[in-house]
Amino acid sequence: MISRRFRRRSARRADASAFLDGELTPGEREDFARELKRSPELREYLSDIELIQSQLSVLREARPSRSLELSGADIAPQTPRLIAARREPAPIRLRVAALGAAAAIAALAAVGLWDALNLGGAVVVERSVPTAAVAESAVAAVESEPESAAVQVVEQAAEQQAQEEAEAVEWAAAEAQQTAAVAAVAEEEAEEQMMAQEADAMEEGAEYEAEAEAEQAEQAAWAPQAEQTAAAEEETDPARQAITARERSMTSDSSAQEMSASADQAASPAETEQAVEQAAQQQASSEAPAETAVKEEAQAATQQAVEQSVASTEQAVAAPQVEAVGQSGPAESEPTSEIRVRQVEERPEAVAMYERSWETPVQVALAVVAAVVLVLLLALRRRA
Amino acid sequence: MPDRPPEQPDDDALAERARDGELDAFNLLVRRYERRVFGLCLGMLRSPAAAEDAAQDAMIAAWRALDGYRGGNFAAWLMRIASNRCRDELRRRKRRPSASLDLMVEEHGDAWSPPDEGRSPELAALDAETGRVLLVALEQLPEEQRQAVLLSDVQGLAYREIAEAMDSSIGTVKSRLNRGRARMRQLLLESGELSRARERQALRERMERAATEGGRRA
Repeated sequence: MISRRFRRRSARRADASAFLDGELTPGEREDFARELKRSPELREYLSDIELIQSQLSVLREARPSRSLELSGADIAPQTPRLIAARREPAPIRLRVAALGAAAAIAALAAVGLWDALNLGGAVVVERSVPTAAVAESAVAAVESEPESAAVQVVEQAAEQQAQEEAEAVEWAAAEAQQTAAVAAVAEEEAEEQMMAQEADAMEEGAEYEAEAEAEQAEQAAWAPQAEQTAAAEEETDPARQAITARERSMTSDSSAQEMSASADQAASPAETEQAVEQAAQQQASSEAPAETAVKEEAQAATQQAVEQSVASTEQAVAAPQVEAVGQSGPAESEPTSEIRVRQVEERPEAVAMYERSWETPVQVALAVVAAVVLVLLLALRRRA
Repeated sequence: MPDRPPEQPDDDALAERARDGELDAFNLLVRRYERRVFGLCLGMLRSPAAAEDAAQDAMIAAWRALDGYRGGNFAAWLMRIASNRCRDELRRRKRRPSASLDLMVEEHGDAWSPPDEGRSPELAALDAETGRVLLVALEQLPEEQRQAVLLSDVQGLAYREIAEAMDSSIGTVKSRLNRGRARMRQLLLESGELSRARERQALRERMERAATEGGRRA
């Protein structure tokens, strides 16, 4: 009830305000006039507002103590059209500048994110960003104080170069460690391959011996009957005799294992000893080439890794620039996929160092993009 | 409403000439509207010196922004620029309260007083007191309500023009005006200034009537 009365009173006061300003429609004005006759409170309100309005008209008399007319000194020499024409390209410049700033920030953020996700290999970021910042501060210093700024620029450049050289030497040492770690893994791999081949050879020998023994036992069981049958056949069939003679000659020349087996079956101890020696010689002669090949392979891999590390160290010391980091690409020391799996399982630190050699070119590219964008922004600012 | 002889070019024609770099044309517009702009700034800022600075800044800003004026209501466009300047100044005062030295000077006697313009000293003193009371009451209104009341009751703009100057709808203007006036009435009632204003009003009417009769006799 009260709120309805309050709303109605507020509506009437709003109508009073609009009535004084002549903003009511003819219908609204008639309604308000009827309401005004009925309500003394509304009449009092309308009278007060009318008084305030008339009092406020005093402020219309306000006049500044001096003229506000413009002179040539108050305004720029250009006309408004020229001002507008000068102002028109501004949004384009602003857009380009904003775009460049956004790209630079994104590139730096990407480098930082990459760095955070990849075990802290922030070599390039630490080099490239201070270089751009030093360049910017140097430009500002030269603009403000040309004489003393030149000395500062030279000093800063020398410090920057010394820092980069130290970082390059550190990087070369880290790379040599990485190469040595990869070589050690390769050597271990070769040893394990050799041991695995030995184990396979021993297993194969044991199986072959078991098969030979079984065959001999079978032959011993069937020998009297077979000899009788063969003798009978040889007596009756001359062609069969020839074939059997050829088979026996081939069997006698076949392998060392068969000789060893036949030696076990032989009657005299001297023949047995001779056969064993022959088998051992044959086995030794068959294993020797495989072992030699594996060792040679491991030695060659080790030699190659050492040569690569020496070459990369010399290269880094000779040219300690940011670009030297990019030259140590993964192709130089990229291991096989099997060795890589073994590294992940057994040597995580070696894998981390290996990963750094992959991420460096990407970081260099991102840092170069950020530096180019910053230079563009500086150029735009100078033109503006 | 600007007092303009019929032979004077209209606002849009002067604005077009000013846009081509004719400063005299723009100064014609300045002369036409400087009192209104100053009155608005005085009502918003209360200090005459600050109001003059804001009004001058508004004129310079209007000159520089002339290319953006598309014709129509030059007064509303100019008032909008002046309002924005005053609001900037008020925000600056809020950030740095010590900067309002003009207000401190004014409260110690350097207040605004209407120009003499041939009135009697009694009538001028009466108007000066009324003006001071109203400026104090206006200062206590919210910024938007104060602006609406000034544009309507001091500058005499219509609702549509006020809406254009304040960049709002007519309904919003109506609401702000109604609330601003009601708030002013309440403030003046509570301070007893409304009854005194009524007395001043009656005295003023009597003095004007006497002056008129004296002129006729003379």
